[in-house]
Amino acid sequence: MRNDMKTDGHFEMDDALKQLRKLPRAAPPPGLLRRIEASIGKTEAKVIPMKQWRMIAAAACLLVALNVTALTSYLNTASQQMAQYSTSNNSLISDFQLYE
Amino acid sequence: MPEPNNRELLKDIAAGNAPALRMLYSRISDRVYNTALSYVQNEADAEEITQDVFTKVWRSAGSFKAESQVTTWVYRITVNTSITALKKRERRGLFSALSPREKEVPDFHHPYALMEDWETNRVLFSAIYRLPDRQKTAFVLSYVEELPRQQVAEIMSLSLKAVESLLMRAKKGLRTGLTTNYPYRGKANAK
Repeated sequence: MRNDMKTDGHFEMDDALKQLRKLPRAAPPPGLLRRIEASIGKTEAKVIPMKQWRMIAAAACLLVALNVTALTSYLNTASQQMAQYSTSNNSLISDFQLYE
Repeated sequence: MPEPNNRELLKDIAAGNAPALRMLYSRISDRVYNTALSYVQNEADAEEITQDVFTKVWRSAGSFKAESQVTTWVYRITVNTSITALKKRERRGLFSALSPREKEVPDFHHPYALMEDWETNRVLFSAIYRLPDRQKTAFVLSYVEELPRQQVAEIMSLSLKAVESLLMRAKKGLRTGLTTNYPYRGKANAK
């Protein structure tokens, strides 16, 4: 009778839970805190990498310089085109003033 | 001078106070490590998870909402980090794509188990390992960590009823796992 109960699922479960209750909490190894503090230090150092800041600043300067160059050359071309257009327009107008 | 409580410690941690982190670690690191160990069933992985958890606590202490207990918040981080670690491990498995249902169960011996209980514990933990994630979380927090059901519900962001239901299913799954993987246990005890 007892043997039958021992193979019964209920008994197995209770036994399993008892086993778990018997186990004390496992503690982490002693050096772990030092490793955590070191990794936190590393993470913080990663937050402000000077080299990266310099590269970002250089990239931003380059971008601004390129934009300024592009804008200046565009304005120059546009004003030259305008001048050309107006002179050719004037000659057209002066050449074909039919009713004066 | 009275010792600061966990909330005060967390405030100090948010302000970048390293000794506060040390004190919180001395109070709750065994809970974090033991929960992670029950999940991943590998001491090196549990150490890595504990490290991750405390790094996250350091980084996001400022975002802690005082609505819950500090331990509830830390348990939640631990559970999430452990589940992520397990998923990574499953992805790493060579045949995971071929047989997604078959979990490769680690051969785990709890570090504090008595020699005579080794085999029982090994089978028990492998049955826990095979449980689906949510059932495993409910079971580990309730029976390994022995937390009150209400706190388990808060950690899992579920209702009390849902946790009870998960525990019932987890026990059923464990019972099946134990009887199929350890059929001669009763007979051995009877001798």
